[in-house]
Amino acid sequence: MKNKRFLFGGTIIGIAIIFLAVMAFQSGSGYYYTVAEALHEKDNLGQSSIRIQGEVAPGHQTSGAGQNLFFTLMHVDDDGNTCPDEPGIEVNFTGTVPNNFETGRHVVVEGRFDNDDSFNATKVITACASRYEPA
Amino acid sequence: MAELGYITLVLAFAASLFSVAALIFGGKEGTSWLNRNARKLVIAVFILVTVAVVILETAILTHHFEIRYVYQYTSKDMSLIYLISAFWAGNAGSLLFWSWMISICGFVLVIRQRPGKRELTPYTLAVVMATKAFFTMLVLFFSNPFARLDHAPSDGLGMNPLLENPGMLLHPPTLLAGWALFTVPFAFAVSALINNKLDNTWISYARRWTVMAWLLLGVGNIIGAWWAYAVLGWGGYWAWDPIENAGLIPWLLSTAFIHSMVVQKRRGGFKLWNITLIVAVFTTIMLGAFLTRSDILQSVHTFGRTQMDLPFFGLMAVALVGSIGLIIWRRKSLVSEMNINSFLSREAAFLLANFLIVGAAVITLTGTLAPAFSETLTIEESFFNQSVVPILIAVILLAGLCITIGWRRPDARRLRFTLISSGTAALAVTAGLLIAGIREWYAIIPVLVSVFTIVSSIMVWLSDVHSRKRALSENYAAASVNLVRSNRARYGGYLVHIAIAIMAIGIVGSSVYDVEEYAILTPGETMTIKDYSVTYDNLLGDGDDGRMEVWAVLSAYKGDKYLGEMKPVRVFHRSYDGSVGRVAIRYSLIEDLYISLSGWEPVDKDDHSKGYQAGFMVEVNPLVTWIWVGGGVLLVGGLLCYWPRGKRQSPSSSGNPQS
Repeated sequence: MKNKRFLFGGTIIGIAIIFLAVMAFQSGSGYYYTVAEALHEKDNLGQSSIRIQGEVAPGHQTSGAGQNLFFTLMHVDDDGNTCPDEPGIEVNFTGTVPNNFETGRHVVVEGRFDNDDSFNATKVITACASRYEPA
Repeated sequence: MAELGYITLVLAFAASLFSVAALIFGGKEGTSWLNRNARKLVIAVFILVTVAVVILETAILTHHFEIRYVYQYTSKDMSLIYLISAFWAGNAGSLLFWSWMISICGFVLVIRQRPGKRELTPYTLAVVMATKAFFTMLVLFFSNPFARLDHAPSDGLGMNPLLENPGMLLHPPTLLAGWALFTVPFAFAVSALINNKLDNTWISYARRWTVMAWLLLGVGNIIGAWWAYAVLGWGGYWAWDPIENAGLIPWLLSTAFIHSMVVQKRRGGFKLWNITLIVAVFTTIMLGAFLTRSDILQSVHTFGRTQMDLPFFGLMAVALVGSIGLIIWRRKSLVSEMNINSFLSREAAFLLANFLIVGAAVITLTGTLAPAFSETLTIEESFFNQSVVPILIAVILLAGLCITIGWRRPDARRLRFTLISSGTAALAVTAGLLIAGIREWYAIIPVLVSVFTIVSSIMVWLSDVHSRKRALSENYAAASVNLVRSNRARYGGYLVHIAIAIMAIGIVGSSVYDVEEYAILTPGETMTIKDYSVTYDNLLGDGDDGRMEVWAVLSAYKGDKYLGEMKPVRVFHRSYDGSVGRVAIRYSLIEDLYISLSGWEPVDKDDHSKGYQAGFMVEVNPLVTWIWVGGGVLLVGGLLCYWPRGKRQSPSSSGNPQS
């Protein structure tokens, strides 16, 4: 009898935890586009905020005393290979440049396409620090 | 030198394999020739790996750049502490360190063993030495720290400037040591299953190992958070990065394990649960090691893709499948002997706390792994903040409630006294916050809960001191010291609860009420943020081709009061494209003033003598220091739990007068 009571209580708490996780998942998850997909979908996206993953092309520049960053995001295919010959996206970003931002790094940018076809990023997330283990 | 290092590792590998075989086939402790020699092999492995570690560290300190690892991670201009810590700057060295830690565990198990008392030892040692052999295999065949270059360069590449921080000296080794130490409680559990000795024996052997491993892992994570705060330059200390999560998940699970161990020891319950938890801890540690070395998830911590992902996955699979098999085999011995008498008992509270902590760990694990199963899915920080954080706040509340109720049935008078006093304190603080104009319920509730837990922990301790004083007619000073000495685990635990609550207050304050401003200033210009004003004086630099530092000099004021100079730095290093920031922070208990230098350009492009304008990110982060203070308290409380029982105890002073 007692065990049943505990089972009941445990189930309630379990459901509460799962409910919390599902709610958090709905607001806290998203999908990101590859560069090619984003360029393809650009006209349909309008002003909605999206995330794009790609690789930082050589020749990124900063201005405004380091607070404006300008770079080209190259397409990375499904196997993780960089495609420098395919069209890239020009990204503008204002804010603190992440410490491990560099050429060749895979980054996720979050923001909107501008009218002049460049991408205004509100966030640049650096990933995959291959530098920790140079080849 | 490199060859000698490699040969000692080959010998250590062979010796660990032999010791595993001898331990499995050697029968009971000390009864056979095989078993006695297995113990000698364990000691030999420890000595051999220690020699290899000394050789690698010596090669680093004496600049033997013909060894590739030394070439890749060090250079002549590095200071001593970074040279020492270069040992674990790369994959090969950190694996060697991990393997060394396991060999120390084996060594300690052998020398601390009392004859006739440890029937679990042979299989425990066998599991430890098998894990040790696995790590030595990785070092030998996948990532050899002693590999040579075909020439001897005159200087090395130097350490990644991101790693140049005092945190580097402590964060990796404490985490690695924590992970390595968890091998021992896991091994005790496996041995208990094989020997079908599933009473409290393995729990009592595993307890102190678990506490130490848990403490190292916790402190390692906190040092990592401080490092991120001071170096990464975005003002944050925790980003729910997959590898941060990989450090957090085993820590959460082992927190649950430490509590459920107590229930088994006192009441014979939670047997299956305990075995499951320690298996989960070991498996998630291997999962973390696997994730860091594969490219299925992206994180600032990964080593990039290595060939080690498969071996780690294999070890994880073997540990998991093997343990589940053993559990099914021994399921009849894992039946609980406990009946929970009341919802208002410690058993019920421990059960609930376990449930919640494991729930938080499972959610963190799900959120961490989800992107691996769907190519394009991203999980944002808000997912974890909205799911894991509320659960952990509930756990803190439980910690406060739990200590006010005793085992089996609560003591009504004591319950009323602590509940009223700590409830009043918590409500008073809440009233203060409301009067101060704070309205955010998601900040007020965690603070209310944390204050409640801190005060109730102190109240319970005070009331224990009071009862002891009356019962044994000691004075208050003697009673408070002797009380803690009589049950270090309990009062150390209270201190840990207080530490976690202090950290929670710091986390809430800094994540809800931080203020951030960007500014581009010319020399002499001032910016203000809250009641601080910061004047940019000038930009200076120093260095050579290999390494250069540029820093801005700023004068900081709070109101009219001069606080001092602040110097945010950017470091350029030849082994790194771009630059790395080093933040200037003015710590205080109330709030930190935090300045990061983002860049600069000449005021006049044609005339550099007019100086440079510089870009800054300035933040005021309230209560961050509470997190580091909480970390210190956690360390003290954890050590108190770990400390062995004193030998000088008289029978009358052992045990707690209240329980």
